[in-house]
Amino acid sequence: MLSRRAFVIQSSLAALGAGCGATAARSISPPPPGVAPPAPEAARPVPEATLAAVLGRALDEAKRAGATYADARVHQRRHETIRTREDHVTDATSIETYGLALRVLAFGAWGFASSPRVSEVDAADVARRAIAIARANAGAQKRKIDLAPTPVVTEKWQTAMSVDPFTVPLADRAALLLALWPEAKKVRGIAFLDGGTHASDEWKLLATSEGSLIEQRIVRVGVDYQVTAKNDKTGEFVTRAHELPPMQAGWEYIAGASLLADARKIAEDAVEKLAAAPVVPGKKDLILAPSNLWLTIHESVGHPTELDRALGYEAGYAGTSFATVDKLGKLKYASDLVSIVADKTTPGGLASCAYDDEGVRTQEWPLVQKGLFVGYQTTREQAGWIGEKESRGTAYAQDHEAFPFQRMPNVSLRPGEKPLKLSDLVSATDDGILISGNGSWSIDQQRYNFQFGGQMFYEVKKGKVTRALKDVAYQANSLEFWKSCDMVGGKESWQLHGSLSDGKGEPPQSNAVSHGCPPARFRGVNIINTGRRGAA
Amino acid sequence: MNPAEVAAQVVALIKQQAPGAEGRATVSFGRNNETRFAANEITTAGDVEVTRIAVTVARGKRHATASHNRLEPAALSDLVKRAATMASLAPEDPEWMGVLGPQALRTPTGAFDAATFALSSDVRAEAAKKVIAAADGKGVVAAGFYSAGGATSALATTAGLVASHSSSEASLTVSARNPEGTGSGWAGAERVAASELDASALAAVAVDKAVRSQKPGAAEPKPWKVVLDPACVAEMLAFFLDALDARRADEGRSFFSKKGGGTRLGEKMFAPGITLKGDPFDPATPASPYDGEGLAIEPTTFVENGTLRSLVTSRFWANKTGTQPRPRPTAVHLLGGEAQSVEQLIAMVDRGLYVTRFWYTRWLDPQTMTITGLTRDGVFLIEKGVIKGPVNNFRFNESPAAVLAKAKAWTQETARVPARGPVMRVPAILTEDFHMASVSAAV
Repeated sequence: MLSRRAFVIQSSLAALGAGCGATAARSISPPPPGVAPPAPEAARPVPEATLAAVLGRALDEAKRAGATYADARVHQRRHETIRTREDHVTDATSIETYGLALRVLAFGAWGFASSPRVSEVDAADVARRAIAIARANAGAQKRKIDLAPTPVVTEKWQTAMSVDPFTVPLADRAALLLALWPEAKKVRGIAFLDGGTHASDEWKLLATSEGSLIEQRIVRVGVDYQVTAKNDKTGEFVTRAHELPPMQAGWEYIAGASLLADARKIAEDAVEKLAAAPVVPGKKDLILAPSNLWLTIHESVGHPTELDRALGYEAGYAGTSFATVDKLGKLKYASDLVSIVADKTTPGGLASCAYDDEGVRTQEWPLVQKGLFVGYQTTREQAGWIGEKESRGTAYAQDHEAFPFQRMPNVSLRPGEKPLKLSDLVSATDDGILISGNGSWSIDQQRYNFQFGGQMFYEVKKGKVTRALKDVAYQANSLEFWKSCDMVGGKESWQLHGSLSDGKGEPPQSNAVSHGCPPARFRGVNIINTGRRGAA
Repeated sequence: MNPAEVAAQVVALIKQQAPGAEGRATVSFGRNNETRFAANEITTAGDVEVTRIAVTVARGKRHATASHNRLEPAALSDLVKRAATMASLAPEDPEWMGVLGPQALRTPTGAFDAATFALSSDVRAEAAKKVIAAADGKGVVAAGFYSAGGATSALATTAGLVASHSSSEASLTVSARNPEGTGSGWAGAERVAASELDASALAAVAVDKAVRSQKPGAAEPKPWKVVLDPACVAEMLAFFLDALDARRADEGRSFFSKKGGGTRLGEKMFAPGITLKGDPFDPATPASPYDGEGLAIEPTTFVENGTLRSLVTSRFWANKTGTQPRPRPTAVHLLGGEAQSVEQLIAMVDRGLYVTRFWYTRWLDPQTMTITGLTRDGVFLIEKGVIKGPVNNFRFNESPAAVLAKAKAWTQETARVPARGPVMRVPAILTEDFHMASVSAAV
């Protein structure tokens, strides 16, 4: 509990026994191009034979005590970060957790327990505790829990990468950040640079009482930095962050990025923003670069189409959804140009993997098709709630201490049919604002009213970018916003962005998720001036 | 072994494996025992044992930290080795201040309750069932979360510092909605001891608000006079505390920076009577008496009668600027005022809003300390000192500093509410010119 409080202090201001019978024929996408792991021995503090015995014991004890279904997981997380300020490193941190998780369905209710010790004795204890919880909760369980069937598999999968980030010397990772300051400080007015590198490794071995055994290793990397420009006379200051998205990849992705090449430009942007004219509020046409639009997709399409939210299972915390079940297949969510898909199969996608945390093969499916609301994100428990026969494979638990529940897959806007680029959207716009990067973001508990900022804002007049602006945010209703979309970039302009930490649930769990999109244009969106609290 | 013994063992390993280096061990053994409910039934629950061992090793100005959760002797040895190796590869950090030696540490009383640490799933399930029964009785739908647990943590350094702290925490939050989705209410409480949580009372408040907030009328977005419940005040205060940093103020990138250089310390910035204290020894807010480095946390007045008195100051920055280090508070108390009750605050308002909860607050502009967010779970129109009825939710763009500057009155009683950041006790506040930016259709 202390650890969680400490976590929120740091992050707050800157984060499911049915039978295993035959499954209906289905067309699913192939899993993302991972590779069968040369067993990641380094990632396993305990030999494979011991792991099998521990998982087996947990499942056996659970079944003996009355579980009709159980899944046991040995889960290891590693996260290495380096933080820098200007010309020096301020932090080099490695965080690792390892342990056993057991979820049971017994007496018609769920139970869950975990332990940091991975042994047969602890497996038995964890089973006893999980069963005790299911027994305590059974009296308050009104709805019958049925799990949609899924095939029994034995599989291994891991992120395709050429350079394991954990093998890159710390000094080299730091050097990448330290090289930025000499470039950035050449620009007059730049006062600070804050940087960070992230490498995360998630290894898990899942065993279900139905007989599936799945081993996966997911590696994710990211680098962020931002510069601060200030004007000592006026006391004004602004920040400008680089827009490189985190990715499921090895270090080759970071090494190949244009972080250093962009440093001068990022610094110049900050100075330009500091001196920029404050935006005049009002309704404008909005052109959103992929580096900004991904987060808007996340909040206004990703979260509303979580089935647990729509049915009130997140009402106590994250909220509910305007996209209720009665609207499935009927609601006009967006203009005809807009098709949005969910998947856990996009190469590089932070949520991509071969199987979810209840052993369901991952897939791609539509959420919004040509503007119509057509799909939800589901787990095995939830599929039947909307009459579907199979789970979409979106169960996820962040670590061994966490209960698996419905988490967002990658949710992406499909490119348009015309080969439009960002510059084509600008050329076609008479009076608008172009926004790139992410700033402030916030959306209500039913996902209607949102407000997003950005990193850079440009005035567009008569088809040309005329000047930078500052203090810009856009505020809209999700449905009105998506219905106002009248231009969508082509596939050449599609980019994958994302976040290493999306929060949901109680206790809160963090999920990494990507969102791909081309640039797109939205008509007549309400622009506010954040420097004046949105007042006109 | 207890955490203090493990910490001592890790320090011995540092001395043995990295002779000449300095180091710090932080060890925590905790429990997170939780029960969640929604749609008037229990949905998930878990008993989670949490172990954390963090090792910082420094050689000269090179330092690194490694942590894991395994207690086997070989695992502890590996962890020390990893931290030492990382430190040797890390570039020098001119800001490194070395590990701390012995500190004069006091122990806060009343921070730990053994029964809460080990609260069984049966007790949590019973509380959830009470809430569900109350909701069922009024035809509304409840969702919420019961969390109980705590941790014993210990910190030791190669320079002889030994510190230990035990805390427990129990919280229950309840949301209630009518089935039509036109009304919603919330209540929540956080205590050291689970026995002090009253599930029926919290359920009654949430259910009542859900019933009373149904079919909200229309209210326009504009600057409003508002009465903010403690849940709202605590949410805003988290941003205020984040900004309360000496270094960023000195560097000219903070709301607390003075134009032309320096900080705004000593400036009368807030309403007379506004006092913000951080005191882990106050029985009202028992919390850890030391920070992550083991630095003793002394009672601190951040804002005194409207005047900015102290800023959080790291050891490095204090050394550089010739000031005293001032650790980030583990507990804060925005002291109570004169009003006898929230009703009395409402009675002072000719036309305004009573806001009971905020949602999705985020930084908007650090220069003006402006944040954005939404209202949720019940907004009520006040006319001539009485509540006229429920109105729609809003998005707001407002500064926590402005809320404290324009505070007109606040309650004598302060409440500990489940909030982000440190332990927080805050009053309900009446303030004006609160910028509601647009209507939120959400309920």
